[in-house]
Amino acid sequence: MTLREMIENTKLANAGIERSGSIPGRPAVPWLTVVSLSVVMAYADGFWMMSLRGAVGAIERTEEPFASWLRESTLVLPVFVFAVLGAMTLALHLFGPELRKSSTVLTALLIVAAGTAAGIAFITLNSAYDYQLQSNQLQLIDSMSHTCAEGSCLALQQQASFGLQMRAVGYGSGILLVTNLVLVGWVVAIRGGRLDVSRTRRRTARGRGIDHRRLFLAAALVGSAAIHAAVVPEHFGEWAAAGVFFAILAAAQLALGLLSLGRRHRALLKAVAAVSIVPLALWLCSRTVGLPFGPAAGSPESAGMPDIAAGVLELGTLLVAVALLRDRDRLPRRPLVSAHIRSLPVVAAIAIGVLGLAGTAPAWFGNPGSSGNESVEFPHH
Amino acid sequence: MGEESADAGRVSRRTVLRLGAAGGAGAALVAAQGLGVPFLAQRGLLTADGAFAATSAALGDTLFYIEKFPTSPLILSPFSDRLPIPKALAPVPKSVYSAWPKPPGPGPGQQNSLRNERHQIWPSQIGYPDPIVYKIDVQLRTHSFTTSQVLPIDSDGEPTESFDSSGRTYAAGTKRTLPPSTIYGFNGTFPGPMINAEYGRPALVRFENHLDENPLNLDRQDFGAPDWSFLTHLHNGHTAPESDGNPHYSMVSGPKHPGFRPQMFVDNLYLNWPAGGDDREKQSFFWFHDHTMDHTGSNVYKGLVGLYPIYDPKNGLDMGDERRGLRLPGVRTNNSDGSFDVKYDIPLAFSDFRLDDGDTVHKDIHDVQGEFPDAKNPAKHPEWWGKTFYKHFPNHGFVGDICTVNGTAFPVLEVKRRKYRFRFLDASVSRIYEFKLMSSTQGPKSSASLGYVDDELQGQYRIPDAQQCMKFTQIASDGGLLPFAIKRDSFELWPAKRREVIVDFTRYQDGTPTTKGDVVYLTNVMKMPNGRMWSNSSRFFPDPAYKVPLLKFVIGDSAPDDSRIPAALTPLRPLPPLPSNWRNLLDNRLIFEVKRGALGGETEWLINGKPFDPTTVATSLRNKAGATPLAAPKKNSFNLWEVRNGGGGWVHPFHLHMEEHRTVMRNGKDVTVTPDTGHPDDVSKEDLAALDPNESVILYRGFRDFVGPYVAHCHNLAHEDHAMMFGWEIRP
Repeated sequence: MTLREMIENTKLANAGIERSGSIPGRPAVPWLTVVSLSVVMAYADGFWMMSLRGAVGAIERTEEPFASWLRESTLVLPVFVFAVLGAMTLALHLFGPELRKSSTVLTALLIVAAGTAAGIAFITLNSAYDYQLQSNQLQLIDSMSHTCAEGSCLALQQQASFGLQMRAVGYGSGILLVTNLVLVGWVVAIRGGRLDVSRTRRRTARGRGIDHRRLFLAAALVGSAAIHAAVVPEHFGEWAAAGVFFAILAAAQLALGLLSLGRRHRALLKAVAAVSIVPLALWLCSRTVGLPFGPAAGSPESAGMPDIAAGVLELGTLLVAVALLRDRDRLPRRPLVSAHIRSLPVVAAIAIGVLGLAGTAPAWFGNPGSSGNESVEFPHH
Repeated sequence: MGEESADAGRVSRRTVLRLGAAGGAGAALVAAQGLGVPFLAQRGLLTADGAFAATSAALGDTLFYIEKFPTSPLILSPFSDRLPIPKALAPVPKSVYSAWPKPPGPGPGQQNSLRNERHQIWPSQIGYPDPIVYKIDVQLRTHSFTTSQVLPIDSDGEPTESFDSSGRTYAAGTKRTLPPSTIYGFNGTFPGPMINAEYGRPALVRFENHLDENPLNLDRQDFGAPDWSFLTHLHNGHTAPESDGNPHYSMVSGPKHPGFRPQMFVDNLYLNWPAGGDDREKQSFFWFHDHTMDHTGSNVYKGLVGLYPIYDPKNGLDMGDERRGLRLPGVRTNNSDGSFDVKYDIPLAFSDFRLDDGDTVHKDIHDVQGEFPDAKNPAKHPEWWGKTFYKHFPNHGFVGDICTVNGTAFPVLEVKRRKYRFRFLDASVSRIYEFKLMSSTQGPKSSASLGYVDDELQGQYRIPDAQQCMKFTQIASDGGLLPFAIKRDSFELWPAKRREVIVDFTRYQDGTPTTKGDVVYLTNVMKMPNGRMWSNSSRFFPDPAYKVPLLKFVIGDSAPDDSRIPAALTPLRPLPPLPSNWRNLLDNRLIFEVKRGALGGETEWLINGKPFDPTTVATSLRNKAGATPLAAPKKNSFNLWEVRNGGGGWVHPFHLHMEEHRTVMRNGKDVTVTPDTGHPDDVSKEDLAALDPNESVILYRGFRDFVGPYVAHCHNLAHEDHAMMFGWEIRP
């Protein structure tokens, strides 16, 4: 089924519900259920992720596992929210707002699958990162190797390390699946076998809430602003002008993000487009051919998690701003899609923003950084 | 069905689900409390981080580092072989060594066969006579751990089939005689020779590598340094780097290699000089063992172990004559060759082994490195049935299931009705022991006959009805004589540690006299199923059923005895002074954290997050003063070093070369005022800090007399060989 078909079907489902008159409102996202399930899976999967890291991960990332678990599970929580919400959106389309016993089970399985997919994505990224660190360390050891009988053993050892990380992903996937099955099953059971994929929101005299597109703008701009604000000190250290630029950009994005929650003005949307397209263009230039100015003029920079996250958010805000500008003259109308689908981009923006922000402080993901334990070469005796 | 009953059914179903879920959660909580908490507590992991560490270890053990070790054949007649008591090695007469093509001496190039080193201090520089010269050849030979017949058993304790080198298979239940194991031995024996040394009389030992010679056409199997190199460390002699046998030295100087290759020799000069010339620094029991980089464990396991008791003749204090000085047990006989033996003063070197069952696959990271291509591992080796089995890179460490004393499994020693001095040494790769003296009416039973399986079979025999019957009087630890003797019911012996005790075989602990024919068992009560740490000991969750006899004493006739057990307040040897302002050094102390990491498809053991680099001097973690000092103290300086166990549920016996240290703090508490009850030896000088899980110690160290590179490392040799070591140096 294509996304377009899904959206159309969801529209029909909404219309059907309203035509029937049996439910005097539209299905809204059951946030309590979504967040509860997300929290349960994020922290449980985080436990296994941390334990796997302790078993096979790079030693630099195994300090204080409890604190790392709390920190990293919290950071990935929005992704689990996105996954659970996505599963519920699909269930809403497939089974409607009222779940029967069989569809409850299937919905629970969908949620488990989505949560597990999110968890697997994280253990895969973790393993990749661990492999990179271990591989670097193996190169260091290989440089002083003396026991290898047949030349360099680096390739063999890296292969063994890679194999270990692959097994970690494989076993970890199975463990996460079982864990999520048990936990989601338990949550459903403790609720007496109920699983809500929607809640009923009655129409109020005040009419509709904030347009989800503006919510998306706010979330994405604030997320982008936070990422840019976090890298200001680093850029100040490299080049003061860059630091000033990022400070101004962060302030502008934050202000526009907050203003987006208010009334829609054409000027505001144009400003949003500007604070999106300018840094996006600069970023693309710096990562491909290199900026024509600055201390690293003409040298492409390597991409990292924070700048990719900011770039994605800015691309999103640019597109939404343009869409809202084109919509400006049309009469207000009912949303075409369900609240579930409309919430997904907002949650995605929050997730990307949080991950990007965390990426600006590598220690949040257990990056060793500099511990001050550098060695010095021994002067030959 | 009516609507009411349907509703009732729905309510019932929901209730059942809710009750089931709540019950399941409750049961999980109870299980966590009842099983999980004791499990974690037992391993020192009852913390938030500990729960993760325990889970990581469980994942590692069950999914990633699956290990299978063979079950050694059951020795059917334990305690029938006599305990070997080594005789003192005879020196080489001057007329002989003077005629050597490359005689030892103080000149340039005279320290080794490569002619690229000289001795940093020759005895004459400190007013000592020329050294007594010994010659020890490192040889490929065989060794038998027992003369008893054996019954091949599997991990369930059931009889199983066995094999021989000709390819023949023997049916389950067939009693066999063990084939001798291939060893690398000092002078071709295990344990190697014993040098009885004395302070004030330097010894020079020429170690010469003959491992390339194979006169018996032996199969070298798949462990031991693959290039047959060796490097000998006198643990923990106060020795110059060129004679210390440490890889931080050997990789950059001398052989510029992990060890000395075949046909090379090195003259290790042991000045038998206390640090700083201070009598309070005198020690009493060294041992020498291989220290080849990356292969210390396999070379030690393969037999490169020797003994080096050292006596102090000054004022006859401890010269092996029980009529003089402290009157410690010992009757000295001066031999015509210049050596001397001391009766009733017996070294006991403990090593544990596993013998190949011919069915266990040999699989090791060292196979990936192509070190033993002839073995074609991973493979089973039925042709090696009954010979020693080794795994270079075990998950936690390497423990055997047969314990030997002085190279013999389940030996028996007939003792006179008098006092003895025993010098305990743990020469095992990873195993920690806790000893008790016990008596029994029913005697040992095989663990298999008692229904034990798997790891519970380790040790092969137990004494179900054993009771403690005697106490030890501990008189010395790693660093020599204690300030005062300590009465002990039991004591732990960690790898490389030494403990010296007096046992009075004339009476039991309740005062009852012993009689001829009485039997006392030296018993291990620490259960250690793998190289990680103990599961049960007197300090942590004693298992009253775990009483493994290692050595049987049979009490014989009375004999003259001029020795005395030092009274509780009789000073033996005072501790070197601790400066009153030692706390001022705390902020700028050096900090080293030992921890496990993962690397290269196998685990790795690291310090401050780094593997051992023999070409570098390590730096401390950031200390309270905000500095990261280099581990390069000035000659004749003193400092505080902190060693932290980075957690994860492993214990680490951490050894620092060169001078003995004194523990001043353990886990943040001043043990110079209130000793830690779990580590009573903290009050003595030591060269090895015993680190329980998550423990830290702060050590007061001196760096006197020599300059140059040394190492510090975990003496769980599986950890040491896989990078849990760092280099440091003394600068002029």
